[in-house]
Formats: sequence, structure tokens, C-alpha cells
Amino acid sequence: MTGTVLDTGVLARFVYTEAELLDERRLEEWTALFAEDALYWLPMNSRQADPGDGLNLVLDDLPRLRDRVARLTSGLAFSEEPHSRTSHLIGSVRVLDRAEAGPIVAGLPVADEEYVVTARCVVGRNRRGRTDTFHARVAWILRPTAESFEIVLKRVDLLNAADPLPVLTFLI
Amino acid sequence: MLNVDQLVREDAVHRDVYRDPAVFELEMTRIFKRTWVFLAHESEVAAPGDYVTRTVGREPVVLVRGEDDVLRAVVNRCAHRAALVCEHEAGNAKSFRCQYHGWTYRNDGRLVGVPHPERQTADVRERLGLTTVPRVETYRGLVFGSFNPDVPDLAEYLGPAARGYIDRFLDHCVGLPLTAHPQAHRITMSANWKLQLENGLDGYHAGFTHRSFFDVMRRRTGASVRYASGLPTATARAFRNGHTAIDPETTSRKPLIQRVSTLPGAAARLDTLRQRVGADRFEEYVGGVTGAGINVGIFPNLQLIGIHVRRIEPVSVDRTVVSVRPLMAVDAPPELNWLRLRYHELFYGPAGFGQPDDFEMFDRVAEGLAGTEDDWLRFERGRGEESEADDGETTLGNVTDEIPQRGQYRQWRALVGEETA
Repeated sequence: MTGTVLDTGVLARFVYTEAELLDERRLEEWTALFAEDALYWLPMNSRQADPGDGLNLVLDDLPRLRDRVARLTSGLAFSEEPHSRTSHLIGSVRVLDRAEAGPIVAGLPVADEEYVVTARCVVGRNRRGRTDTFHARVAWILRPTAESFEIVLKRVDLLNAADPLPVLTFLI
Repeated sequence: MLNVDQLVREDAVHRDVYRDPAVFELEMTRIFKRTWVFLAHESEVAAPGDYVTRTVGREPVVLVRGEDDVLRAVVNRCAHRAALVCEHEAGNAKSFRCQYHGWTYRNDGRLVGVPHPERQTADVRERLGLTTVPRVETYRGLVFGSFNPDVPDLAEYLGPAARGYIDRFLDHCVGLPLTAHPQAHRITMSANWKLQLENGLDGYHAGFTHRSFFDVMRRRTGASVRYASGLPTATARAFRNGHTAIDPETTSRKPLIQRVSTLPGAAARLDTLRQRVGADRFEEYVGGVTGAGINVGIFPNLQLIGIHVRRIEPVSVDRTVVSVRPLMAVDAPPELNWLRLRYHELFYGPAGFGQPDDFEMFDRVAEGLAGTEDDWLRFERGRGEESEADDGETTLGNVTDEIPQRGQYRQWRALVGEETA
């Protein structure tokens, strides 16, 4: 890790807040956390290092992520109408050094001042009388800004990403 | 005994067809054990020893290329005590060993190893083996299997009209041969498999179910894509044996090409592609990203849509898995295949902008079917207005007509209504 050595707690608080915005469905504020060059990425293979290398569940740049949110809030994205309610529980937050981060973000440039953070995440999703649980490793590349951080990458590796999956149109 | 004439009329299908476990049992025997069932694209099993595990109805099978280069399908079940002999979705193996008691089979199904054979009769290895699916045939790289030794040849089963549409689909990418991507999106549904059968060839639903997708695309490209249902030239077709197509017959791919420019990372790749293939052929190549623009249905479990091969896997009367596997162009500029994958991800898969809304409708149909006040699902659009093509095997009409569904259920009734020999 180059740049300023930072208390893991500062980064952890940021990712907790990110999840809270999703769970409270404050989606405009959530989208605003992402950098202009951001990627929101759900691969199907946890060993995939380059987002373009395989078939993904989601690979959004910022314009596409805005499309996704616009669609989900249009009232016409029927698989989210009525919409899912989620509850994110985040644990094992770690700031990785470049060597450890390599296999997760090798396909992406990471600037010296940026941090690679991973966590384990349990997401409950309730919709139409049913609650499902999803488990994931989440990785972020976070870029310091004047006030806080912006998200350069949010990568979600679902534990069951390679299995047949139910519809996953909610934001995770 | 079920009376299929009371379950499937020419223009309506009874709710029991989607809900009754006894109907599902009959389908497994009289459809999936009797006719051709799609298994894989041959590129998934390209080299000797390559295998994939699949199902024919509920029968677990391994499709494997033998050392003699012959494609075989064997039932994935040890002849001894019924354990699976192959646990992986795909791989390469000269033999399969049951891990329960160690019985070993060559990949052509022959039993070659039985631990402690002195306690078995001497002929055990000749007498037992993996059950072989009696027929495996291929058309244009699409591999089908049948448990019915007397099924007509695959080419005859498909017929010239459906073969023509398969050809058109497989030739959609600047004439380059296509190969299966090693990964597929697989989506589960808590509903009967025939909802996907109907929906994949439904030219009526897109403007409604997928309106949010078209809205996003209109906002991004500034262009409104008239979906097939808005085109007077677009047709819905039924061929022999329950095979079907919907065909927009539009000459303009321009709106679809505009969609490609919205894909993440597209700008730089489109520039590179233009330099690589030249300005003259650039538009044709970008057109190759978006697929043939037709939907082709091969009864009962194969659909060719977008750039993917869709396989319907019935699990039980109210559970289904749908697999959508993209096809990649062989010896193509890397940007072309990169864009094809991104284009596929845009609409399809569990988190795409389109396919999940179809699955939501399947759930809603399944819930609506719980009620008994009305027993019927109606497939009467355009009935009596169909025309017959000169080829003698094509019924066609407006793309929103339920011609494909009526064709599918005619075949369903022919198979399910008749005792298996």
C-alpha cells in the first residue's frame, strides 16, 4: 500500500454507508457514490480478474448503472415491481495490499492513492412474501476525494454465482 | 386416464397442463423419451474425451466425444447401485468412475473395472454398462439425443423450413462459424417449463413486458426501435413437429447498431474494429454483434434467440431451469466477441434488463393458475387468418398471432395423446 496509511475503520464506515443507502433505497445518493470511470460488476467466476474476460451477471459502467437505476425505479421493471427490500450485513472488512488484491482486480488499473477493500456480505432480500439470503465477497476500489471516497469498482462475487440463479434484478 | 383433447384445444390450454404432476409424468415419457432433445453445441465437446453433463427430461446424461471421435450420450447412473458416475458440468475424461464402490466405465459406456470381481459373476463386465442413449445426431453443430431408437433422422424431424431458420440464425455473424461460450446464464423458475416454450416465440409480449428496456434504449440512443410487433411485414410461423419462428424481416439494423454504441467500453472497441475491418465492412460487423434478429424454436427444448442457444430443462411440474449460452464467432476480431458478450449481458441473464421480466410473468402466471374460476389459457390470436406458405409445411401470420403456440400444442397433443409403443 502506497499513499497515506489509513485506519481500516474509515473505509469500513464508507462501505457500511454505501450498503445502508441501498437498504434504505436512496438510489440517487447511492449512484452518486460512483466515480465517472466506475464499474459495478457481478462476475460468474470468482477467479475472473478482467471484467471483459467472461460472461458476467452484471457489467455496468456509470451510464449503464444510471440506466439500471432508472429502469428499476420506472415502475415498469416488473421483476422489481413491487420492488425488493434488502438488508446487507457486512463483516470481515479488510484493506488489501496490491499483491493480495491482484487476483481480484488484476484487469483494472489501481492508482497509488486508491484503496482495495474486501468484505464478506450476507444480503437478505424480501419480495412478495418471500425472503432469500445471498452470500457474497464484495470488493471495492475506493478513491479518496476531498470529503470522503468515490467508488471506482464494486465487485460482487456471489457464493452461488455459477449455479442456476433466481432473478437478481435488485441492487446488491 | 387423462383425455388430452380435454386438456389442449386448438386455441386454448387447460390449467392442469401446467400444474398436474400426472401430465408432467406423461410429458417426460411421451415427449422427452420419445423425440429429439437438444443437448449441446458440438464445440462444447470438441476434443476426444470432452464431456458435458445434461438432462433429457429428468434423465441425467453425459454427452461425451469418444477416443474414436464419435459423440455418444450415456446415462449418468452407475449400473450397480445408481450413483452418478460424473459429478462435473464439463471436463475431459477417458473413463468415468463411480466413487461409491469404484466401478469404472470407459467413456463409451463399457464397464471396464469392478473392484474385487471374484465376488461377481464372471460375465458382469459384458452384461452391465452405462445405458447408452440410442440416437445422437447433429445438425449444423447442434447436438440432439433421443431415447427412441426409431425416431426419424434429425434432419427429417427438423424439416426444411426449420432448418432454413436454423441456418439463418447460425450464419448471422458476417458468415463466421460460431462456437459455444464455456459459460451460460442459468435461471431458475418456480413454474412449468412450457411457459418458457411459449414465451420464447411470443411476438406479442415484448412491447408490454419489455417496455422498460425499450425506454432505456430510446433515452440512450435517441432512437425508437420499433419492435417486431409494430412492423406489418413481421411474421409468426409454425412448421412441422412443433418447430416455430418469429421473423421481423426488417432490413434495417441501424437502431440495433445504435444500441451497441451504448455498451460499456464500446467506443474504443468500435474504433479498433473499424480500423481492423475497414469502413466498408464496419456496419456489417457491428450488425454481427446483435444476432440474426429472429427467434427460432425447436420443439421441445431448444430456442435460438439473440446470439444465444437457449435450453429448457424441466425439473418438475412447477420447477424449470433455463440455460442461455452465448455463441462466439470463430477467428473473429476480439472486439467483435467482446461486444457480443456485452450485448448479451444487457438484456439476458438473471440480472439483465429484459429476461428477468419474462420470468416475473412466469411467476405471475403460476400464481394466477392456482385459481379454478377459469380453467383456460387462450391462444386464439389470428386464428382463422393464417396463411400457408408454398413449402407445404409453414403456417404464418402476423408476428403477434399465437401461431407458434398453437403449433407447439398441436405437437404436444400428438405426442402426449398417443400411447408410447
